[in-house]
This record gives sequence, structure tokens and C-alpha cells, in this order.
Amino acid sequence: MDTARTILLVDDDPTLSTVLAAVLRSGGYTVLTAASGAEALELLRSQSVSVVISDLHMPKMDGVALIAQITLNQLTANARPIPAVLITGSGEFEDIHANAPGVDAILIKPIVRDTLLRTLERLLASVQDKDIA
Amino acid sequence: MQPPTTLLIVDDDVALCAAYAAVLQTSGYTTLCANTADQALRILAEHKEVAIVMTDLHLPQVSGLALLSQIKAAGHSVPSLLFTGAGEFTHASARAAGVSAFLVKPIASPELLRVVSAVLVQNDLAR
Repeated sequence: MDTARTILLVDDDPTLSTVLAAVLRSGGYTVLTAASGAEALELLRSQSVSVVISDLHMPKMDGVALIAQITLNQLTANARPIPAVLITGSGEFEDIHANAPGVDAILIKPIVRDTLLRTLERLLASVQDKDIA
Repeated sequence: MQPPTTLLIVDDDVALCAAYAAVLQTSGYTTLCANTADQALRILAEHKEVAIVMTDLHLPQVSGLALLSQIKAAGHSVPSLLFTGAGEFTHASARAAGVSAFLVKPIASPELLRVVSAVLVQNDLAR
């Protein structure tokens, strides 16, 4: 598995998850999926991923809480934070979520393929730049 | 309705402070962040409602333990939670230092929430 291009996609909506996974695979990414925050955290205990994409609205643990937890786990392990993309509906105060810990980008539904892939390339490039620096 | 429990987080890593705060806020806590010991002492003087001081063992100028001593010396009686690296701290040293609890990094958020809750219960601060 190419961990440098592996995306963890977290969404409790199986339809949206399937569609987004297909888009990501068509862009050359390996995709792991989780249907909840708890499942995502469990998966990250054993798998390395390059970017996390999470829906904002999920039962029990929303996307902001999940990304904060992942960031806390990484930082206290002296590991680099995993770049994270939050998916929200339109008009959901994206400015507030943009300042949430660990959130690097926000995409508003409906998700446009090119925007999604461009966002991922930008995040991966910024990680590479940091590694070089 | 009772006000939410307030926790003071002390860490010189701003991003880490924000991550601790976000995780704790999602469980209903109010958080305050300090990036230095001096800042922590100032915040504590202004916010008597702080229920736990949570500090990293390693701070830039004074250690987390020294900060906790300064807090005690300043007359604040507040439970404490120390974040440490592996092998840096033992239950015996925690007892000797008067630390309520310590957590070894890397810290998983469920463990953080469990220990915070336990410290509040131990000190009859749970709401």
C-alpha cells in the first residue's frame, strides 16, 4: 500500500463515502474508509495515512472532534499532525471550523472532483515542503 | 444549571494546547490555555474557578513540577495533572510531588477524558 497517497475517509453516510472513495481512487489514491470517529481512531492505531477526510456531521463524535483527537494523538506522540480535510454543508459557519485544531482545509458539499483532488495535492505538497525544510 | 468545569492547560506548544482544549471542550469542559508558567500563574490568579491545572512536565523556563510548586506557594489549592514522556515519572514521584495524576505521552483522548474525570471525582469537583 502506498502510504504516501493513502487517504482515510470518514463518513457515516455509506452512499457519500462510496462516491468520494471512487473519486479519490480515480485520482490515484488508496482509500481506507471508516463509518465513525471511533472506527477511524481504531484504524489509525494500525495504519499510516497521508490525509484524513472527515464529514462534519456524524453521530457521537463529529468531524471537528475527530480531527482534534487525531491531532492530539499525533502531537503527544511527537509525530507530525496528519493533514485533515473537513467536509461540511453550505452555510455551516465554515470560518469557525477553519480555526479548529488540525483542520487544514474545508470542503463544502456538493464536493467537486477537481477541487477535492487539488486540495489533496496542495496538502501533500505542503507536507513534502515541511519534510524538505 | 451549573457552569461547566474549567480546566487550565499549560504547554508551550500552541498547537498541542489547542488540541487538548478541543478534545476537552467536546466533552463539555471550559478550557484556558497558557504557554508559559508565568502566564499560567496570571490566569490562575484571575480565574478562581479553575478545577484542574494540567501541565506538561517540560516547559521552557521552569518545569511543570516547579510550576505546580509555585502555584501551591501562591496559595492556590488546585488538583494537578502532569503530562510526561515514557519513563519520566512514577506513581511514587507523583505522590511525592503532590501531583493528583499523570499521563504518559502519547495520550489517547479517551484516556485523557477518563483521567480528568477521575481527578474531579477524587477531589469532589465532579458535576
